[in-house]
Amino acid sequence: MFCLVCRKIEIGAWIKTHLIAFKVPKRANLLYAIGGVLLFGVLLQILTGISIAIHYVPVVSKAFVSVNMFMRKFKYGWLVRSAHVNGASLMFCALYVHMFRSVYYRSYVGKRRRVWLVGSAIYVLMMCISFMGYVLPWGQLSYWAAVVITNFIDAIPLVGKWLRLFVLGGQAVRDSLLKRFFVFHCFLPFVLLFLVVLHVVLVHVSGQNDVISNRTFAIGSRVNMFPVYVLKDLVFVGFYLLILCALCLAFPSVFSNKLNYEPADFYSTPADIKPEWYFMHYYSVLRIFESKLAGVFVTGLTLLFVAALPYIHEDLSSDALKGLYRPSVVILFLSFALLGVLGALRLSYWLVVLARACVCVYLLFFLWPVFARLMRVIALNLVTWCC
Amino acid sequence: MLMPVLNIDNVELFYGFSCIIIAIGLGIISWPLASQFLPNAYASVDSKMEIDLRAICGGRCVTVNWFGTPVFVRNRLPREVRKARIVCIRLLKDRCARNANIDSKALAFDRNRCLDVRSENWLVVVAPCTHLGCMPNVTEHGWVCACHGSSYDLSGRVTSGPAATNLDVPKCVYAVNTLVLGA
Repeated sequence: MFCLVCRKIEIGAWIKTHLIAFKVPKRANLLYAIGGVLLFGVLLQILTGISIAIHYVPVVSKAFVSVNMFMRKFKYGWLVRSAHVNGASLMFCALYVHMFRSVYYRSYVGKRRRVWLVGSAIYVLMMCISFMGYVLPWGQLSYWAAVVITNFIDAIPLVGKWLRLFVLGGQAVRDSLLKRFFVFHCFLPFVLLFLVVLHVVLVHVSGQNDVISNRTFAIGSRVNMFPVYVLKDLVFVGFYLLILCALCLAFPSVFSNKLNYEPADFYSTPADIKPEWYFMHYYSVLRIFESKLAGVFVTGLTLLFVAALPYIHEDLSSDALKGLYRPSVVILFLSFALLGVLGALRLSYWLVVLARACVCVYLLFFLWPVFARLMRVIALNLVTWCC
Repeated sequence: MLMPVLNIDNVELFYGFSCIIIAIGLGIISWPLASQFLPNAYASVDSKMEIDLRAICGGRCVTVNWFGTPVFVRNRLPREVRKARIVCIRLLKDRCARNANIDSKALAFDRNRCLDVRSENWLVVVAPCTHLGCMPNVTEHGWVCACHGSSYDLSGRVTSGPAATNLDVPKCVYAVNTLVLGA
């Protein structure tokens, strides 16, 4: 019966075209293996998440206790929760490397534009999911993060106040918010999984680009995925597990702040509240502007630019642009990392100046092709006008 | 049997109409589904609460839980009142009194923010910082927010930092030795 079903849906042929004989570029380097790691990471997060969700109680008075009970009183609860928490951090780490790789090697032009668009949707969704998950343990930082972020919604003109009520479901951050965050934190990962599958399917439709060229089917530049690339991916998954094990067993709270091991207190805000490291650059952007609206606007703009990247850097036809591109990507990611570091420090005058410079560099990366095109048009017009 | 005859123009019209009807149907379905995310009727009712002021001695500030909203009730010393009154209103970031008990256009003089003329030592303000909702810490000069350092003077008016508006004075009534919040 099983064989019959397999034969009917031609699973053998499917495996052959997509897992064995799928053509991958010869010149793909090690960074190309991160994609497989991320897929594995998502599946692991869902698995560990399900077992935590069974023990979790989304009620203000019990949430903190239920998480701690799971960690202390249930067999291997500490390991599962630790794998979930550290797995989230590790996945963001892999995600940023994956993004760097695709920006650096321009894996978003032409047919692969769709892959990038789905990928950026995955990025936004992943940030939403991880933020909701961060609120669930209901520690001091969880609670105040929820308060601060929902207050930022107020800054959106016209609909802000209404939208805030819509998210909170009450006048303050209490049960209603906790419950809906829990439900969406459980439900959205499956949407994410769907998007991930779509992402992989689109990659298989358009083929991967390699380190040098964007032509997909140049003769002699491609090899079968099996065995070398499958094994490479598996080795990287092994590394991922190794790092995760090291984190869970030796440094379980290296990514988390000790303040979050205190239950939420509605009447006292801890002195230094900070988000997780993977949101630190957004935190940095949000806090260097005096007005809330400016912070929200610039943050939204950076996300919008990430999604619009294939349209912005579509053609680098002139040599001057081509030579500039890769160094500018490195500078972009360095400024991104620096913003993250600055987010962790105490606010001061020079820090604000430096962070604003970083934001300028960040935005400039997306704006310079527009400027270049504009300058060219102006120059041409000037020439015709003068002649 | 009589069948309606559809020529090509009618078909396009038909598609257009069916699209409109589907859109209306989706709207009707999603309206209740989306509306249930809003706060329930119980949560938005203003609720009254009585506070015994005899327990708060001079110079103390007490945080009261007013149905989920923390409220500061501060019994200011005479010198603190004097300090709050000498502030020049032109130097304030937000010149609006933000007092729910009086006219919304009133200026942020201390007499417009304290409870009433007979009880100028009492200051009642909604506690969360108007910037991002953190709880400010009580200091001798007023309050300082723990998150981004917005500071408020002894009248709850913002003096520095990213906050843009003064702390709100909630609806309240002062009777001898008791305060009724939400009245």
